[in-house]
Amino acid sequence: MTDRADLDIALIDRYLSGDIDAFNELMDAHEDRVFAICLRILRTREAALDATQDTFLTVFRKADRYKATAAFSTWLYRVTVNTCYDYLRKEKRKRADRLPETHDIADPRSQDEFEAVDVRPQIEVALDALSPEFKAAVVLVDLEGMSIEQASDTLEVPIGTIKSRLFRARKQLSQSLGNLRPSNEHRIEDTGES
Amino acid sequence: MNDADLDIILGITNGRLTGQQKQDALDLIAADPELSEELAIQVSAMDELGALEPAHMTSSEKLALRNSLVEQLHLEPVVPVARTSKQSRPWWQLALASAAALLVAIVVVPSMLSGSDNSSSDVVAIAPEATKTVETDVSRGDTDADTKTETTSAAAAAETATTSTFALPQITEDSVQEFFATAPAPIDTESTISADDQGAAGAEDVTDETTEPSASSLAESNEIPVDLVQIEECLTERALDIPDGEHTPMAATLDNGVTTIHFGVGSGSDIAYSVSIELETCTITSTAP
Repeated sequence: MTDRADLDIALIDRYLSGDIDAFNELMDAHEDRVFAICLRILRTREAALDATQDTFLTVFRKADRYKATAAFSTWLYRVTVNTCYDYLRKEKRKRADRLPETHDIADPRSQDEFEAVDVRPQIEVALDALSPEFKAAVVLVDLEGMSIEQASDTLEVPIGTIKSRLFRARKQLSQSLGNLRPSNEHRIEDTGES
Repeated sequence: MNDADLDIILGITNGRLTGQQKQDALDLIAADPELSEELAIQVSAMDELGALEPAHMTSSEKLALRNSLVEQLHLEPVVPVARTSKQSRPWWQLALASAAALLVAIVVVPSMLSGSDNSSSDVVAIAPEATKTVETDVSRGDTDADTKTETTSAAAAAETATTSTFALPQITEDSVQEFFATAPAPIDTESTISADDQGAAGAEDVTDETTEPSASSLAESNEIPVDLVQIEECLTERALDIPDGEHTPMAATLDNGVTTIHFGVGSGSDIAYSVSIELETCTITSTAP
């Protein structure tokens, strides 16, 4: 375990014994990264703040169940990602419930209006288009600087799965951003059309 | 793309290969156009991701988050509540400021006005049980879970993190006199008057008359959240203009977005005067015995 991991274990023990300073130290150490993960996965600041709060509520309420066999941060970031997944699922359900009343899916203007007000950087739009699993891999490794092994532990998937998700996610990002060079297949299609 | 190719590319992009291993991998990739293209795609995406702005919480968002967690985890409330003023101050500074304002109101002002018609001795003499003061009310507003702003949603809490409020019973301008005539206990939210209590003669010196009856607002809410800091500042600013004694915020009026605080002046439940101060401008709108 690293110094940080050892320190976190000691802080959790202190927190469980009622030391509120330990709570504050744990927050100081981890709140920014938890929020950053939430913001990258959920995209909106409001949702990210709520997910950050829910994450810490879960972690502190279940702190007595934390086993020091894995780093506290691994557990914390796993809870973070799972909380974000829950938010995405809820959001998807909400959208599905709302759509019939507020949007005519067949109306092409709906999409135009959406695109017209979307002023986010292209990379954020492209990131948002990834599946939650791909997005989590990219966020943890490429944005939060975790190693592939750490991401594997955090997401509880094999290392090979992380590698595959990472590779495919980056490729999809490049495609979305228009940075992808035409593949052989596309060149053949283009040639055929002309 | 097989697993070996994937390992080679990720080995380079994620720094898993170093030295000779890395050079060998680069040579291999250079000799294979497909691998070269895949590597370029990966690097391109990573460059785009690296250009994203860092994601940080603001200090007020952090404060709101911690306060909300402390509340929901039932931890000891040691995290200061943020406020409307330009900077955050811990609760003990608020209590200290309140005590200072109280000191000005009770000790300094009477001594400055000694010999005048508003001698403080008259006021103090009628209040043997006087214990509830602005100071006690302020501390209650700062810590009492029943009166402070709810912070169950982190995002919502972040928006309201800059307020330090407590609730006062809502009354109308027309019912101020009657309100004080009934002498409710200070800051007792149970003692709010009902809409039926309206209709009494208006306070004599009210300068900003209510143009709309407040029945509708009363129906919406029986309490008005008020800012402790503004109350303190107004009491301090108007210390020389208001009758001396203990100034207890007892009720509030909200009219066209303007909040007026109605103070009982006296001791405890023995109210000798009422003073109404418009909170936003610290203007005294009425004083009445």
